Amino acid sequence: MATVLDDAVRSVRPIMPKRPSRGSNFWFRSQGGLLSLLGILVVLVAWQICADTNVVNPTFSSSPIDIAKAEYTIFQDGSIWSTLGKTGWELLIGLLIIIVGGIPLGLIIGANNTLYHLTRGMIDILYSVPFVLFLPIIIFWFGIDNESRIVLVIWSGILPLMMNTIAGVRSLDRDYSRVAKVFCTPRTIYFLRVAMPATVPYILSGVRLAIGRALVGAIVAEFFMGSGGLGFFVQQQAAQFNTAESMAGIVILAVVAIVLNNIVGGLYRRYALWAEPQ
Amino acid sequence: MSGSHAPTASDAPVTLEQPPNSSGLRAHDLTLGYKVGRHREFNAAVAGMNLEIQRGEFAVIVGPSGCGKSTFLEAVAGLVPVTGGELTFNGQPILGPDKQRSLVFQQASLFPWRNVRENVAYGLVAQRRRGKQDQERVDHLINLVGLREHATKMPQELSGGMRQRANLARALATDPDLILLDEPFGALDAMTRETLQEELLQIWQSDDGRGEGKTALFITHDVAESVLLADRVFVFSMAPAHVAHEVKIDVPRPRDASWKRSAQFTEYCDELLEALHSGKRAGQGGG
Repeated sequence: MATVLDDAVRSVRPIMPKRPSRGSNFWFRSQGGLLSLLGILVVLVAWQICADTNVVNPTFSSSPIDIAKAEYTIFQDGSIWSTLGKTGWELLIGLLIIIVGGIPLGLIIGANNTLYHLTRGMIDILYSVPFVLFLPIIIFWFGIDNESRIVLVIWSGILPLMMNTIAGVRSLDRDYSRVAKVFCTPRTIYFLRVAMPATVPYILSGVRLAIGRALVGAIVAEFFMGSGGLGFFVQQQAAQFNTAESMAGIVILAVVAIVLNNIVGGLYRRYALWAEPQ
Repeated sequence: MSGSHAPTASDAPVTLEQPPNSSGLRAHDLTLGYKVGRHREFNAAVAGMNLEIQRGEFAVIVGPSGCGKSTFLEAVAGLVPVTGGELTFNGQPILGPDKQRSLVFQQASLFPWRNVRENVAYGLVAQRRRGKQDQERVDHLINLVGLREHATKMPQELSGGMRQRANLARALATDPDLILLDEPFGALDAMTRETLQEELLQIWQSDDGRGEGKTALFITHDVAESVLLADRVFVFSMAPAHVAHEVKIDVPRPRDASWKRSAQFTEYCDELLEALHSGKRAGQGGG
């Protein structure tokens, strides 16, 4: 998708290939990011002080330094790799299927009025009922292996993406199609140059939601099935009072979540900045 | 005059007493309208319209708001189907949008994900025209409408006047034979509107406009605007519209804004205003 859009943009812009950047000043641009890092730092320092002065019991609360040490240990002895591999594999496959399947499905359902009304009720039900509730049945159908967990990841993540994509297609501005008509735009060009770019902001917001819910899905599946993975690891360590190790697992997941979010954020700034209110 | 004009194609056989003008726009006994409401009643916006615009002419339609002038323009653009009568351009009946005709929209309707240059080039992209001279034409038009410095800006970063300039350049970029303008300056403030009127006048009078035999059809409710721009002004009646009055503005070009202060200009305006008001009265009397 990105390459098609890229070509489209490049092919008609031979004069000045670079878009002017908003706020070239480095400090100005990174101010928001630095402030949010500062906020995290304040919490960590306060936590460390509370643990050191026994305001809270470090056995239960652990402390940032202990967590850092635990992080070092679990990576050092290599025990974490198979755990991460398991969760990472589920997430990778799950998210790929969500994106590759969810976007076209959303586009098709959104573009067809009959299909939209046919599926609307079902999608609403599946989205509104907490997906955890389906877990026993999913286990019953797919067992407690990888497939089952991938199914839960997809189940939890695909609906918000589809709903957003459908909303994007259905709210396509009437003016856009009028302009396309007047200039005799063929269907393929209309799809690639008008319908797709107009829907991209909705799709990317959907992907962002899908990632969040897919992470929840993966962890919940591991909690319940007890067959490895990061969720299982965190639960097991906590049960053995290894608070620091348990939290070290949580930190890994937080980093993954932030990285994925930032990737989508970057795509959004590149392809959908126009949709932001000025 | 009532709105119950039969939607069917004219039942009386159309006798072509004159051969249809093979170049230019021609409407003969034209009916346009929509089916509205629960009973799908036919609501005529244009009825029994006869109108002829020569090739190379700048024609302006003035009419009260809601009189059906926009519907007429959309029909010429091919966005609204012809319900009855004939509507032809260069002898060919208008059945839908065509590459020979392009439209300057009332709202700029630029694509917010394309920058100014990409928006101006949209028609060419849609029509798969990637030739060197097409690209040069885009650059030339961007200069012509004064957006050279803003070519890489996004539409959201432009003022209303600049957006309409890009809208105009986009319509000219495909090099159409007929350019349709739907109250393009209606939503602008008075100062910007005057500037843009003058610029349109200059573009039209330059080689790029007239020299290539382009025809223009411009819609407005501003009488002074119509006199300034037009070779011929058509005054539309209240809905369902027909041509209530036709005035040839027999003033040589190039014209400029200073002409607007002349007595001749005021006379034309008075004539049109008079026609507009009597048309309104007639419409109210009959409706």
